[in-house]
Amino acid sequence: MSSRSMPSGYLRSVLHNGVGRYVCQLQRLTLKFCKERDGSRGMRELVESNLVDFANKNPGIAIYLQPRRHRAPKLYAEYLNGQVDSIDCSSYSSEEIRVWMEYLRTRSGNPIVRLKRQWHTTSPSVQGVWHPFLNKPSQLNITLLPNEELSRALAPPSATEELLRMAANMKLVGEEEDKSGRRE
Amino acid sequence: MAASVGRKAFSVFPTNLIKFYDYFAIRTIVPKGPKRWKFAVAKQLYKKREQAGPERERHRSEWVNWNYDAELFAFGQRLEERFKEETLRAAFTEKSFVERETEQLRSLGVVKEDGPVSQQHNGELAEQGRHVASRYVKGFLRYHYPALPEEAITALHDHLLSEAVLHHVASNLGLRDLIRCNELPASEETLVHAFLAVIGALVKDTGEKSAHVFVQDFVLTKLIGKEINELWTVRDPMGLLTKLLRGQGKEAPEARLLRQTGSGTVMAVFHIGVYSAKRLLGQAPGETLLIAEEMAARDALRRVFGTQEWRPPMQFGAKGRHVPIDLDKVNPTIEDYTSGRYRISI
Repeated sequence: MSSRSMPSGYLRSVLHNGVGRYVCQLQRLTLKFCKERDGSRGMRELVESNLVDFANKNPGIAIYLQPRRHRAPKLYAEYLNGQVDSIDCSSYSSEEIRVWMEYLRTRSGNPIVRLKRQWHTTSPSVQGVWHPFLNKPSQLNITLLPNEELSRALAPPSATEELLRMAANMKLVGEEEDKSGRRE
Repeated sequence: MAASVGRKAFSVFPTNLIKFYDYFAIRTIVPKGPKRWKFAVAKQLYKKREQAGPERERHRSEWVNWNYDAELFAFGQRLEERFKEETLRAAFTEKSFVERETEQLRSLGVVKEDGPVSQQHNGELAEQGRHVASRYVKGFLRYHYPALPEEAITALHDHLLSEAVLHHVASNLGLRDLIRCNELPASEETLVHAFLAVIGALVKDTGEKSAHVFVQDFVLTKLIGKEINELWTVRDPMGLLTKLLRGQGKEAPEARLLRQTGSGTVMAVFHIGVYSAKRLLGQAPGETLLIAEEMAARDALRRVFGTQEWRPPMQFGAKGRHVPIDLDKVNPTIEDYTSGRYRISI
């Protein structure tokens, strides 16, 4: 509920993973299970069917099997940055455990925290951060304030002014027509 | 009769009372409170555990789920590099470890015929790794900062190959558990040594090219997000700018006030521009005129040396693999620029 019980942090990667080459951050995966009890059945099925494929596809992960009599089945993951994480797989099906193994494989190893921002960048501004003098005419620096020109209200033209302007334009157009001798 | 009297006497309290309560349906349910003695016991146990001291430091290999050969293989595969097992084993073995082992075996009367001792530990590999990494780091930096003086290149190189930076890289690559040394936990120095030995092992097994790519991916990426001008600072920027302009045959720098606001107040801002022959070289704001002038000179130097904030980023990844680096080229020094031996666009 509070910020102390639910820590927050920024988006991070380990050693700029992916900028150079991508390194799978999962170092070791230990499958702990019981050979007898029913809760480990899913894990045992996984070991018999999918585990060798997983190991072949990910030669960079050292996979260990640790049978523990009458203990709950667990996935124990160790990451390159020293973080460890475990998932209790009691009564999970082999399909579910496979999903969790995939989750552990694709993690960065950084602690799970609420992200303060969903992005991270080392160059937040490319054109430069705005400051009040940006794009202001440098004439301002030698202008004595108050200045009559700058103090004038920037109001749009009133209806009267607009009509007068239109009339003046029409008058000019009319004069041009008279001169050319054409009538519409 | 006597028995029945005795029985009645003993059974007065529990059964008779319960019967009485049942008849009148009066029953109060009092929840059982916390056992107060539990807290006291736990506190004592905690105290004893604290007095006993922390758990002793254990190497990862002490746990049951450990296979050194598998770990070595996984290390190479994870980095997508083809190491030879003997070279990698040697890269992770410290000289002191080998010495202690041979001493132990000798005391037991066993003489091992494993090959020359120098090939069993990582001394030579680390030296070669450092040499290759050093050359490539400088070459990479020189390619991306062609106008930057050699002193700055050296400063950046020293930062990248410093123990602190290399230790951070090494501890996040999973080397700690693989190192065979006498100390526990492995010291910073040992970790850095092993990391450089891995680079050396790459040179030995796969060639210099893959070692260069490795250095680019793990060492040079440490510069991402780092401010170059913080890693190499000029003590007197205006002085250096003056010397540079003189050496390059340009007019002396002239500072002019561009913008100002709030002068005489706490929130004063002055923008000063540095000109040479009426051409703007650099500008910057500052709280006082002196600060603004220094910052403007620094801005001018950043533009001249190509270390501005908006410069194109360094090339890594797919592009970085094809960067044409000349390892023998050396950048001009500040002396070369200020004397006029080398041209710089200023």
